[in-house]
Amino acid sequence: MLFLILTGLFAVSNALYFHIAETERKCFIEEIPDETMVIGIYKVQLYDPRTRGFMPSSPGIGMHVEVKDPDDKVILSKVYSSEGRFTFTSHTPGEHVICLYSNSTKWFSGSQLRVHLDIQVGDHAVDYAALAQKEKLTELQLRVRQLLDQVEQISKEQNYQRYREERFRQTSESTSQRVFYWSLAQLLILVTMGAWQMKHLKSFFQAKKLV
Amino acid sequence: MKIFNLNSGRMISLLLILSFSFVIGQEKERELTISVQPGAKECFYIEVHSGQTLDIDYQVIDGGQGELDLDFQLISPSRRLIVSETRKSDGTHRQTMDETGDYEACFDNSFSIYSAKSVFFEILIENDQDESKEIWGEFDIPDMLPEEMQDIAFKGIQDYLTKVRDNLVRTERFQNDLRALEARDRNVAEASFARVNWWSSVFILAVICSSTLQVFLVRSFFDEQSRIHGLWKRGHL
Repeated sequence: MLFLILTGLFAVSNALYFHIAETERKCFIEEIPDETMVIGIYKVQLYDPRTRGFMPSSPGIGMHVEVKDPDDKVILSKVYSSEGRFTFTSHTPGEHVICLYSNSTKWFSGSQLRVHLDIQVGDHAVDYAALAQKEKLTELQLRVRQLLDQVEQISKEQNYQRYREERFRQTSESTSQRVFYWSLAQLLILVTMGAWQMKHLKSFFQAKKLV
Repeated sequence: MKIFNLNSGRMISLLLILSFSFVIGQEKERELTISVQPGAKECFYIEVHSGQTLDIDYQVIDGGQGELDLDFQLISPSRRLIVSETRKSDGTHRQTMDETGDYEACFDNSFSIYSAKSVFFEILIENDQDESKEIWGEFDIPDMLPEEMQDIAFKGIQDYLTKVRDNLVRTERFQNDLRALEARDRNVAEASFARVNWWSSVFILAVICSSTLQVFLVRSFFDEQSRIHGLWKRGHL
C-alpha cells in the first residue's frame, strides 16, 4: 500500500493557481464558525523571463501570510517559505480574511509570481492518513471517524447559521425602525424650518415697515 | 452542485439536486471567497484533463452600493472562450472538457467605478477515478488488516458508511450554498441600513441649508444694504 501524504499529492492533483504582482496583496474571505481549523496549502513559482515560463521551484521566495479575525485583529502574521502550509484555528465565528503577499525583493522587477493555493476548512483540514497511522486505526474505524468529524462540522455550521440569521434579523428590524424615526424627524425639521422662516420674515418685514 | 436563485428557482433546484441520487462522489472541491476591486479583474487557473467534468458555481455576495453583479469568463487552454457572461449575480457551469491544460476562470469588475464585489465560487473536477477514493479523500490507508476485508458483514457496513458519507457530502454542499446566500442577503441588509442613515442625514442637512438660504435670499430682495441686493438689481429683478 502506498502511503501518500496530502502535501505530496499537491503536485499530482488539479491545483488552483493565480498570479500576483510584486507588491500586490491577494485576500480571501473565509466565513467560519468558532473553534474551526483552517489549513492553507500553497506553492509559489517565480516567472523566469529567460524561459518565458515559471520555474518549477523557487526556494528563495518568501510568502507573507496574514490572517485577520472578524474583529479585525491579526491572528496570524508570518513569513513562510516558497512551498508549504499554514494553519490557524478560529476563536470567534465570522468572516476571517486571509491575505497573501510577497515581500521578497530578490526577484526581477515587474515579474509575476504564480501561487498555487488550496484552503481547506474544518474536517477537510484533517490529515486522515497521518491520523490513521498515529492512532493505528483500521479502515472501518477511520471511516467512522471521518463521518463523526464531518457531522460535527455540519452541526457547528448550523449553530453558526442560527447566530448569523439572528444578526441579520436584528439589522433588518433596526433598519425598519430607523426608516420610521428618520421620516418623523424629517417631517418635524421641515415644519420647524417652515415656522422659523415665517416668523423671521414677518419680523423682518415689520422692521422694514413693509407690512 | 447548483447554487439556487431566489425563491421559485430554489424549489426547482432543490428537487433536481435531491433527485440526483446516483451522485457517486466528488473530487475535492476548491471554494474561495474573493474581493474584486472596482476596475479590476481576478483570474484563477485550474488544470483539467480531457474527459474530466469541470463544474464552476459562483455567487456574488457583496456589492457595495447594492449592485450584486460581475462579468464572468471561462477560457480554455487554447484561448477559446467557453463561457462569457455579463453582469450576472450568480452562475453555474458544468461541462465535460475535451482539452487538457490550464483553464482560466475570470471575474471581471471593470465596469464598476466605486463598488468592490465579493464573490464566492466553487470549482469542482469530476473524473472516473476509483469511487472510494473520491468520496473519502485522496489517500490510501496504511497497513489495513486484510482479513477484515474478506468478511461480507464488513462489506455491508462499508456500503452503509459510503451512503452516509455521500449524504453528508451533499448536506455540506447545501450548507455552503445556503451560507453564501445568507451572506449575500445580510450584506444587502447592512448596506440598506447604512444607506438609510446616510441619506436621511443628508436630507435633513439639505432641508436646513435650503431653508436658511431661502430666508436670506428673500431678505436680500428688500434689504438695500445687503450685498446680494446689488446682484438682483443688475440681474432680472
